[in-house]
Amino acid sequence: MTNMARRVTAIVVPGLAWATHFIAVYALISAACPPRAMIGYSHLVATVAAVTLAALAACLWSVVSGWGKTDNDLGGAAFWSGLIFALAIFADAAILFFFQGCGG
Amino acid sequence: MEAALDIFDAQWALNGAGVGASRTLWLTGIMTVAGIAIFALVMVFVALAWKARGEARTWWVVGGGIVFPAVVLFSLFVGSTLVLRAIAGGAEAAHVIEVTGKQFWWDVVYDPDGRAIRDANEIVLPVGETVEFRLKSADVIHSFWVPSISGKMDMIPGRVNRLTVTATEEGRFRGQCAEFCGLAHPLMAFEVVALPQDEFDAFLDGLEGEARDAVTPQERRGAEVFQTAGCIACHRVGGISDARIGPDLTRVGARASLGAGMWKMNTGNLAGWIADVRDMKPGADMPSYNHLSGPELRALVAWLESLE
Amino acid sequence: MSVVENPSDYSGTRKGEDKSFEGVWDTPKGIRRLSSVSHRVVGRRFIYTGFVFFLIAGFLALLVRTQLIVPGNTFLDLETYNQVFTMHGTLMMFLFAIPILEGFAVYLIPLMLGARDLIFPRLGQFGYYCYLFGGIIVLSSFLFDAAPDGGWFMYVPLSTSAFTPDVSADFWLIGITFAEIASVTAAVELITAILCARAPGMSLAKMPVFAWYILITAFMIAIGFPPLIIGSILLESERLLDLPFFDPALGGDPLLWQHLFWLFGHPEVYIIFLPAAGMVATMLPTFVGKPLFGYGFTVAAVVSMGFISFGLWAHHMFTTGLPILSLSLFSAASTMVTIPTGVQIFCFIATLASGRPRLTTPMLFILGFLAIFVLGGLTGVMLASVPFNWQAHDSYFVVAHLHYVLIGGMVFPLFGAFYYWAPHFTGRMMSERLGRWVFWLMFIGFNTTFLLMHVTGLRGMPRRVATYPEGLGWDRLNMLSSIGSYILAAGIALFVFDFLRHKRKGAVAPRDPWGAGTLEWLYPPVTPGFNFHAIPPVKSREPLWDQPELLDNEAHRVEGVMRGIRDGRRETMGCDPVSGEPLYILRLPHPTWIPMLAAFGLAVLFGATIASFYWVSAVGGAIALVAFTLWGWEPSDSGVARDAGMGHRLPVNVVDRRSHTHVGVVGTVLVLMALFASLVFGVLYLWNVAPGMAGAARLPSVLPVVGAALAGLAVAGFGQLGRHAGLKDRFAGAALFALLTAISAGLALWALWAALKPIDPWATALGATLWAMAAFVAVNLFVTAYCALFNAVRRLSGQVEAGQCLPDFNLATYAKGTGLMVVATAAIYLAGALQGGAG
Repeated sequence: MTNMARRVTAIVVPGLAWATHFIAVYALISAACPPRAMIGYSHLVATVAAVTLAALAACLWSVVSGWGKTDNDLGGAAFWSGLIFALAIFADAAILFFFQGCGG
Repeated sequence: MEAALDIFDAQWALNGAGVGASRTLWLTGIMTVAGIAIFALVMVFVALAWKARGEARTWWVVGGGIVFPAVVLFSLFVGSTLVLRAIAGGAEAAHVIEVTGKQFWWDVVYDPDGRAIRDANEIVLPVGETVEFRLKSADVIHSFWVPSISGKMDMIPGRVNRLTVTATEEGRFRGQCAEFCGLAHPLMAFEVVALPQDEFDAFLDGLEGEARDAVTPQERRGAEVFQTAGCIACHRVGGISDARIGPDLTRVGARASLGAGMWKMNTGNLAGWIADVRDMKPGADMPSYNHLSGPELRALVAWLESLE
Repeated sequence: MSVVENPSDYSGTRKGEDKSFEGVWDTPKGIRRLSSVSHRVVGRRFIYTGFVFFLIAGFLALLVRTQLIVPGNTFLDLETYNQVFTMHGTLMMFLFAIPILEGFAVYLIPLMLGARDLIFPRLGQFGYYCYLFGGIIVLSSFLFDAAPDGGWFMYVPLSTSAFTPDVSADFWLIGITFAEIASVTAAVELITAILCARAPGMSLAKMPVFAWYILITAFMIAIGFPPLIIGSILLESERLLDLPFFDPALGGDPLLWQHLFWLFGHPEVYIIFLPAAGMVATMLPTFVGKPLFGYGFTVAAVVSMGFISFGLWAHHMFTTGLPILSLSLFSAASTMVTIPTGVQIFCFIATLASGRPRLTTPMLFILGFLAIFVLGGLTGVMLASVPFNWQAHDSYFVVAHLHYVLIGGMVFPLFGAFYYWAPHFTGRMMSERLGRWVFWLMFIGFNTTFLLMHVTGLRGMPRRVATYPEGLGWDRLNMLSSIGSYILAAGIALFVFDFLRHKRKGAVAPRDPWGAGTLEWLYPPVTPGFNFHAIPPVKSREPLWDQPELLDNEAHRVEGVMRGIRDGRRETMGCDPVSGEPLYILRLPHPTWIPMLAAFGLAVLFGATIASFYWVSAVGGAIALVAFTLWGWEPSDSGVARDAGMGHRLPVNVVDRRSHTHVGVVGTVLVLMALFASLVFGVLYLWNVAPGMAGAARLPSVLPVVGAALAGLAVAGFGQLGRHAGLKDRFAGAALFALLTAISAGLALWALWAALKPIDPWATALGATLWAMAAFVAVNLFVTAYCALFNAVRRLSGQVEAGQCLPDFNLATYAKGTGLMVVATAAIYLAGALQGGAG
């Protein structure tokens, strides 16, 4: 893989990590919260925690690969992409701090 | 067209006459002030940038685009979620009211699991008591919204949505369907009356049971017309008919408004409604009774008004 | 694979046509102009048609505001009002905003990237006619007094035949879906054009930022439109065939429609915003005189908006009774999308600071965009808060918010873009003096109309009401809003006047009139039929600023690759998607009527379906199929090499993963996968919300399901073997494997049908959705088989020469996609069958 192809990958990977994470959290909530709960709430929390760590790791890879290249370049784009998606992933998972169950 | 409920702020989301509305009001205030401040700040940045004529710095974008919004958004998210928990956090409901949205009116049943007292287009709430609304739809999607007291909740066919509400101030408020539901969507409102606990209980007792007997000869004539003209096919009047297609009319004379919260309840409006309902409310299921003679119509109106 | 050096008799040569470069690229005259495939012609058509829809939709908005000017107004009756606001939203969102921005992209992208045309010109023409015919179908509903009146969101059950028995909903569903074909084809076309046809040396890092915006937007369209297309097809089949997808009595759910609609509808907002922001990012540096600040920031922001905007759809559904935890998830994602937006805004502000800005008319519109859009973004953050949303949802607060975001975020940059790029369309400059008037009328009118609506909404006025009683505190606010809308309309009328005036009287535009740095200004703006005599190597993001040789010479003397033409054909340079290095010579088609014929066939098919003349529909379908076949049946160009100048000797239409046709196939498979995923979402959703019904549905048979999976693998496998044989120039082998691919597809079809036989699609919504999934896979199997037979017939009839195996190469990719869908479908059926067996 050329240098530039690696940078493009590093821009897109955090996005894919965010998408996978979001779909996982949405699916887990949909499985745990309707009247016919298929999984328990504690399983929900544990799985979300694991998925979140994996997704954040992917973002970290991009941040590291773009480190020190925060100028007008695709390396900078990889760095900021990793950072922005990491914030978004964290926010999506942080909702679980506020609730002890499905709420409402 | 004058509002049936001609109180200037009857439908104001900033009244805070219920727990949901007043907690949201607090949130609205903070967000509005913060929003205006941030807007002004950004515009100042634009003006400064216009005059800067120099080197831009990376930290501007990091600070303005990432750090500052992250901090503000996270605080907002925490505050908003706390308010959400306070509003939706399952307080035990003292009363249950089932409201079914129909094109284009509201079917109301108090205490559906017990006494099951039916009424329509006007909802009475006890002040200071938590009420759970069970919201259903009989046809298309409607949305139940009384801005002065609480946020809205949709009524969706095949589902029962629950909305927990606590009125904190006495008064008369206006609610309206908030989800587009077809032809007469703008003409689908209702009134909410928040009463002290004892008056609420008295109201429920009064609502229960059969309709008042017709007293005057004209009222008796009206009751007769009601049965012979076909009204009983759709409308329930306790002791006379038990149909459930249209609104329950057992206490219709006691309501302040007509046509789902749209017109004042008075003789003229009521007569006009019966004679040509589709002129006043296009899309209503009820046919126009313009074939009734003048005396018949007057008798029918007199009787309906007497049903308090 | 062998490459032939200058064979004397080569099928791609246009014999007997000894035309000049200009002659080959000339736009046909007279009525034949309609057969043009040039991106300049097609792009302008998209823009002008979109603007006409904008004027119509704007007129409808004025009717709305006139009706609401006083309480209890009887200017419009309820039915007309509902039609008017429905059509206002529908035209603005589907027939104005997206098509006009795609028009700008279609027009500008090749010019900015150094290509002589978009690389699927016929697809562009086809898309345009789909859009035009679809738009005409939707508008024609007014003539039949059957204009849609269920809202632009078409919520079920209001739009089902039970509550909308007439054809108005069919006009909407069929017409809009037809017009959406244009958006999806344009998306595939733009993705491929941006990745495969750039000037030599234009790596992704040197690409003008506008191309990044359009690239991400195109990917979003490819993934965002399919849910609505699937939703519309399901709803239309519920209306026509009585299938119970959304019927709660049979295990369906009205909320499934809302999920599918907003899975499209929210990304749509960003699909509209991003190209407009791209225009700002292109115009702003010109007027500041410095490059855009923070290229890396901007790329990261655009990519992250592209992703995160897909995680917001349910914030249109906060009041539908979703679990509180779900609401919080969507609330969190909705607030987080602000960060990339903020990054972008601050990049613009930093750009302003890095030079000496000139206050031209486009610049005024950019400043207007900044003010209005920032305010709309802030109210958007408010709406992301769940409790506030419960109050503000479906009130005039949301009307205010969405117009701030869409008019601020899209219409203001668009008008700036008209002033900026007008020389390209007419060769003349629009008036700066009138432009200021236009801006201030629009800005003042807009804010008068919509700023007050925030208050109207909090005062409790719901949306979509044809009338309102007096005395509730809404009277004066509405009157002022209506007056504001007339001022806004006056601004737009003045713009139209200025545009018509400048076509005759405007100052003639010089070369690069604004002093811009991007390549579309290389030639003097009186547009010739071609883009570049020679495609100059690009070393900078602002080549006109940093490469003096470009503007120092007359445009047609600028040095570059591919000067002149070969074989009498239209050609441009194909490049490596990442590095932008020249890879191959890309042959382009010449003007043709066939795509128009295909679109016409589809228009007949769809129009007759609305009118329930089904045999006419069949004729239309046949016309389209014949047209598509003719479209594909042309001599292959690959297999030769040519000298491209500047030391490049390149193959023509290289057979490679990076070939534009292969990238186009990958883009198409992406769209198909998104369509398939929407159906999978529907199946899982219904299975989750109506478990009782899931049990009641009879289950697929296990044995045929396994058979279908195996046949699906065979489709992919034989496709791949065919590609292998093709690359090795084994003619008989390639034909044989193509035939086997087709046979496997037939077997897979049969097995899927056998597996679903026990399920009655009319009995449960889940059953109906399983059938819908099979039907979608069946269409793909049919197309795979058709293309495989097509390739086999071409080989057997001697149409294929050595080295010409692109069709086999591309079919393999498509067959693998189809095989994957068959296997996934079988897996879902198997899960259902096994679960039923265990329970």
